[in-house]
Amino acid sequence: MLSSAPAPDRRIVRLSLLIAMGVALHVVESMFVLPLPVPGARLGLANIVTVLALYLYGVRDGLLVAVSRVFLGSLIGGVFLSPAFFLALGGSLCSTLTMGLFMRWKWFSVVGVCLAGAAAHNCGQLLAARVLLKNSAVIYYLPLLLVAALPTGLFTGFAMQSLLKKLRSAGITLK
Amino acid sequence: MTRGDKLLVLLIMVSAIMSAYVLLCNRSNKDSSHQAVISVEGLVVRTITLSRETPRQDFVINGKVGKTDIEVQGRRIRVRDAHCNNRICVRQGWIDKPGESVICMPGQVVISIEGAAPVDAVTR
Repeated sequence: MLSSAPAPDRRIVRLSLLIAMGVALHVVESMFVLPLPVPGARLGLANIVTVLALYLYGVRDGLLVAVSRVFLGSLIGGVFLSPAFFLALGGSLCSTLTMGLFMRWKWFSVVGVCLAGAAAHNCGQLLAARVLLKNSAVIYYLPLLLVAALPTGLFTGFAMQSLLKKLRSAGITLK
Repeated sequence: MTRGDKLLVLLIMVSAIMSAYVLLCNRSNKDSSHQAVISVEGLVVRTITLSRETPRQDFVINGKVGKTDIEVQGRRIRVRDAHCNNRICVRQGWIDKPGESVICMPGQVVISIEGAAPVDAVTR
């Protein structure tokens, strides 16, 4: 049914599905706290949805999915306008823009894009924390967060790799 | 994974190590420059730099109810003896972190360590 719909409708349906999935992952993810000495380190499951939107429709829709996901996810999680919300927002904006940039460079595969996104997410989070707390001491989390970005970025990267392969063989055009 | 991806992994690792190195170097320099501010009845009477190089010293501050004997040793400071009756300030012992303070209520003597306080925790 979806494949017979006109392209603009299909886009709206797909984006809404992506946002819905992103919200679900965002909420589920915020229940699992990684055993790291860093607050806010996450697996980046919700980021997979943003990457998918980026590969399907480009940077603008990627941003749309990421920001909607953060707004709705934190509303459902009950942290709207709390520090956690601003951390997630800063991280998502940074990572989506960075991934949009890295997608254009042909010498990175989707794994590299996700890695860059994970690193940028953690840097953006740190930047948001810096602004929120008005305390430059949060910069001491930077090395830890960068190290944490490696496994999470690789994880989402390889997940995306197999997902994109499946989508391509199903005949869906990707950027 | 392309070669670019592998380079990116390397780049992130190198920048993590570099930033850790730079931050740790900066911190050990900064940590050695806390200041102990001593005030009586709200007026600052003396400030002392607390660092590893600070020599051991003690001196007497005239509080509202008599003399307060203060001892400095490297990066820490304490009230060694005081002429107040409950001597809570003496029992508190040494303090060495920014934001900590020893307060003698009867004598209205306050010793507080100033400097960039690190973040204790972030609640989410």
